[in-house]
Amino acid sequence: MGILNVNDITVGMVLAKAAMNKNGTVILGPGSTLTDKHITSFKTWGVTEVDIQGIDSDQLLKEAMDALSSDVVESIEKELGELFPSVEANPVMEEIYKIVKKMHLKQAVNQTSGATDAVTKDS
Amino acid sequence: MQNEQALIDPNDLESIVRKLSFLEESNSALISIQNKLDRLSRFQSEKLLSYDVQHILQTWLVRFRELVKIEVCSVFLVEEGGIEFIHEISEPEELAPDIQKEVEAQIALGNFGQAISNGAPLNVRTEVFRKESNRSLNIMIAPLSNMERIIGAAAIVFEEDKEFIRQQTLKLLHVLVDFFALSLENAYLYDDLKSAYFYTIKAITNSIEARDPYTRGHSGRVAQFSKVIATELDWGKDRIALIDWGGMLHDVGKIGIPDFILNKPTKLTADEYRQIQLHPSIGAQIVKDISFLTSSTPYIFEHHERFDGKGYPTGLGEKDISIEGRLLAVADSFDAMTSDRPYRKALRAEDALDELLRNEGTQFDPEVVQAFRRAWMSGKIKISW
Amino acid sequence: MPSQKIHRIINSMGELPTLPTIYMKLSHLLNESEPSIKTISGIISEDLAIAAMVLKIVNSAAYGFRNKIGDLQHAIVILGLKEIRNLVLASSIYKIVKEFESSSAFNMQEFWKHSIGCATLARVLAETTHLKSPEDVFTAGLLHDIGKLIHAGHLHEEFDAVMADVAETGSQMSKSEKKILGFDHAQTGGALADKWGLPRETVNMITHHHLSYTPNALTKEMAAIHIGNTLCIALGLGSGGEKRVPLINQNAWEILGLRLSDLEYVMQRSSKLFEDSVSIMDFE
Repeated sequence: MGILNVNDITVGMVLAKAAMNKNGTVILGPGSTLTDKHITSFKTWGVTEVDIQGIDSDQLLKEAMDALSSDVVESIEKELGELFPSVEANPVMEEIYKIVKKMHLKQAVNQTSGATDAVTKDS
Repeated sequence: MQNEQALIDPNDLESIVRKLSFLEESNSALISIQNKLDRLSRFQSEKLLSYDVQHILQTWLVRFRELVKIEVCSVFLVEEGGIEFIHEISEPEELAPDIQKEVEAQIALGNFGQAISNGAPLNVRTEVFRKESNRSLNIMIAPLSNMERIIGAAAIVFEEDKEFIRQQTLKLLHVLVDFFALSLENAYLYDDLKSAYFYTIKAITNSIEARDPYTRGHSGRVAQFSKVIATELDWGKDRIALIDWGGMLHDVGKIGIPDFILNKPTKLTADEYRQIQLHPSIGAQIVKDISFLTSSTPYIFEHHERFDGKGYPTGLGEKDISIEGRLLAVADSFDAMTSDRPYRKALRAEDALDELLRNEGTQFDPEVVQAFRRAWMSGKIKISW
Repeated sequence: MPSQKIHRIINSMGELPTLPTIYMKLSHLLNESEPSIKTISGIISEDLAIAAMVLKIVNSAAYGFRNKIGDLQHAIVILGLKEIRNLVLASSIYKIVKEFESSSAFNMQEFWKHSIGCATLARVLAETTHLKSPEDVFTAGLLHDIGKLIHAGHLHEEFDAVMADVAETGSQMSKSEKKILGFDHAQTGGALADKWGLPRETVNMITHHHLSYTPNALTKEMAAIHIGNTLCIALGLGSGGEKRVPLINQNAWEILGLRLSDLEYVMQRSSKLFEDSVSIMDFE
């Protein structure tokens, strides 16, 4: 089970713990299977992360990487490896690393599929 | 060189010039804000007479408009214990679908969630709204909450133009939104209160009718008939609402009447009859201290009075009886006649109508009876067996 | 404390970039009760380049006014003195940066972008954690690495040595600077800001943006700059010459009080705002 950012969850996942926002408002109880509506509700109420059964964020990153050619992934990992110091045992730095990696992977995916990424290039 | 006779001190002159310069230059900006505040303060002193949620929403949308050039202003509400923010109203209405799309985009970006969980308004550029027009629009997402929970969110799309005095306007907007949330909260509390009373009273009425099966549903039907007659007489919304209550409650006094009298299949003794005749004043007693029902007290008190003054409890006649009392009398009698009783079977509707007409001027007010007849003729009176 | 030493060095440098007097004059005006708008716009117009920059920013998509604001006085009335003063500061820094020449190891355009990136991230962090004045945090963010310019411009040899050391060892610039110069760019920048007469809080935000040790009075604003700087390097928004992402001081993280799960939102939002800002204030 793993804690995922709300932007990474998909329909069908199951909550390991109740989904709450920073005020402690419970949006959905544990054991619920997520639907599209649920995910929108999380975002609506400011839930930023949820505890999902049976999946963790490393696995998700792995799946994203599988979608790209190994060269691209390698070069991203190399670049980030040089940029980031060892982040083990430091949850904040680890999180930053994950987010940056995710953003790079996303950008690479968008570039290969020809789509424009709202976050990076064009305004 | 100081001239003793100089009218103006050279030092003073400089500051006067500075003052004039300042006044002249900031004049247009100040006038703009002044006007807005003026209009807003007039709104504030208007006591908001309505506890009607729709009316409140409309009024506040107008107030927001006084302050900023709004493209659209919307309110989304979420029920107690609910999750979904449901679009309630937009002004102008035609832009409702657009603002909903915009809010969806803001939810996806996480901005909406930030505003809600922070409990504070958030101001960002619009994502999808009017993107084709090349104008830069802002959206303010403001959570609306009462003491206990978040009741919804206001979304206001506005444009910054040359008249927009940024910081002050945004601050004023925040303040307005807070007041707006309070108004809404009051209206909901009032609604809740009314509901609470309604259900309590309905419980009492049900318990009366439970004891006296022959009159089950009687109050509901009297309320219905009353509303039809009142509509026929062209009464306003508020008066029709009151007569609705009057109909529901007219027999509430019967809770003070013992079972054996209420359900006696045979003729009542004089003494027993006198007891039954107490129910209008018992009913009035019950209702008079409930604030929003006080005005319906006379109708309950008077529903057994007769046009010719031979009714009870007071023996009022003709125009001395409130019109509502006269109306209820007709509605009450009609339903009584068309229902089975312990002592006789129901009359046919046509025969009951004939009875009403026969007693025009004596038991009943002719004006009311005629209104009833008109409603009957146009098929508005429905009896279901 | 090396601060005395740094002040001496700074004072001996001569020909340091001065924060244009217009910024200082405007700051003084803020305390007056009836500042004449004519006077304010007159002061700004003393430096045409800055006046032009302010108008350019005001008319850009970032502000979104529908009709073009053609004159400075109007801009002052609409935005208010405080915001105008921040715009003047940004324009002034931009002007200063442009006067420096890029070297192979240190590119001015990238430096400028890094400053904007850090300022933007710090401001979004401040807004998300409800700090009192996000604009002040933004200003400090713009200035946080100004010390590097001083080193690049006035201590060329040492600066080149620092950059070479960084390339070789992969350490933080601050560490190499301490080794080679005896002080780092945060301290230099802080001293300069102090010399310019900027408020104490701003000076502190600049001086302590590395937080290699935790000072006694660590404020949320200082934490915001520190974390903003790290995030900026991690995201690669411009470059201040660092080759590696610095570690975040744990105390700073706790004091700021941002939730880990909000990081993604902050980083996404800032990246977007960064793109907008850079498009207005790009190098011509």
